[in-house]
Amino acid sequence: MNRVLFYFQNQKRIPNPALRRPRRLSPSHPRCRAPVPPTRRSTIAVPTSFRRSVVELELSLGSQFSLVVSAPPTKLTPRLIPCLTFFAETDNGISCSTFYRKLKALAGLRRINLEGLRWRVFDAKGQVLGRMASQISIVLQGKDKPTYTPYREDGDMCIVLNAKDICVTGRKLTNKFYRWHTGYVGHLKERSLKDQLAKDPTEVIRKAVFRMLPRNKLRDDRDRKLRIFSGSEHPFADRPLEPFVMPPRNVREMRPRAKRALIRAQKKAEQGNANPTAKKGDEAQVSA
Amino acid sequence: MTRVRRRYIARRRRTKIRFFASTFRGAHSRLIRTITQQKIRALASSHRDRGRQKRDFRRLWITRINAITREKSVLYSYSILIHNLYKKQLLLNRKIPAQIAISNKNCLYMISNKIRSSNQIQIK
Repeated sequence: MNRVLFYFQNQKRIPNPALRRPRRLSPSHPRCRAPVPPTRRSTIAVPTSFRRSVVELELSLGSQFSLVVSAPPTKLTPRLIPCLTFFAETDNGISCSTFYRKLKALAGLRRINLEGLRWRVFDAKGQVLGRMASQISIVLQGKDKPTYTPYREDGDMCIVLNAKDICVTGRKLTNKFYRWHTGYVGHLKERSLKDQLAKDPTEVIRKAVFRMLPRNKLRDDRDRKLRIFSGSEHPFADRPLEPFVMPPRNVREMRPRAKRALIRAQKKAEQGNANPTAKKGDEAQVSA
Repeated sequence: MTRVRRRYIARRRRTKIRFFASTFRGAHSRLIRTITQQKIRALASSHRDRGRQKRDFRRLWITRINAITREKSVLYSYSILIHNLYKKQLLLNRKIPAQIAISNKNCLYMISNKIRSSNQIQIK
């Protein structure tokens, strides 16, 4: 039995039901029906319209939920249920914002027909951005299956972890710009890779893969099958996941000038404090 | 001149065309002028696409064979498989390996293994 405490920070206030005028309903009205006991599939009543209302959920994993409700109910839709099981392990109170951010990871799962699809996990740590994105796009399209059909959407679900640790070669961190036009005259906006990684690292990979998919009607559906996480935590741990092994790659040897700079930096690090952080910075430039 | 009435001639011609376009969507199966146009377009498309069909299916088979050969080992691909086939002077086209790949994967693997190993031995 796990206990989860939820704090819902909502601005709305529920009107006091005692003050409401009682309406006369005919006996055949659906509201007069006896309340159905909550099963796993049906909606479960949970109060969300109180300020900082606390709900105690007693979840017994693997069987029906039984809810202890401390206030007049409003609806909790079944799509929130997988989120609740994700949080069942922790014993802390979780704020509303992280709750809804995790919800985003599960958004639109119902739209995808998940039967027979594998869940492939890509670890983006230390991978080069474009090379990883092309592999992801191949898997998303389903082109690694012998039953590939161009008009049918059959790609596997792709989960990308550690999106913030993605690498790029050359001077792309400072020189690669994402540009978009807002529609107003003269409003061409741009943002460098560095800023984008600071702001939202998942967007970098998502844009890269989205632009590698073929521009047809299936593109949006394929984008929906891609879930990217900047860390290594993800709410899909209970599914059967398959790690994706990137194909081996010939990394060309460094150009002479870069090599000399690297040797100089290494010597400097040895002569200096020999921090572990400095050494890591040098190793990251090896693939450049 | 005696008076000549047009009568049913045009209608008789147009019913055949109308029957051809009877399953088309919206105005394309209802309005006579659009029906004649759509019939011409349909026949032209079908003529053009008969050539295209051969291309499209060959593309699909190649993609499928590529998928299955890459699944087996990292350095293997469609291009290497076809090269080996030609070396051994096997007359397998693209359609058959694609069908084998879907129905009986191991059979294709057996063929590709045999060709690959025998070609490598020959090169050595």
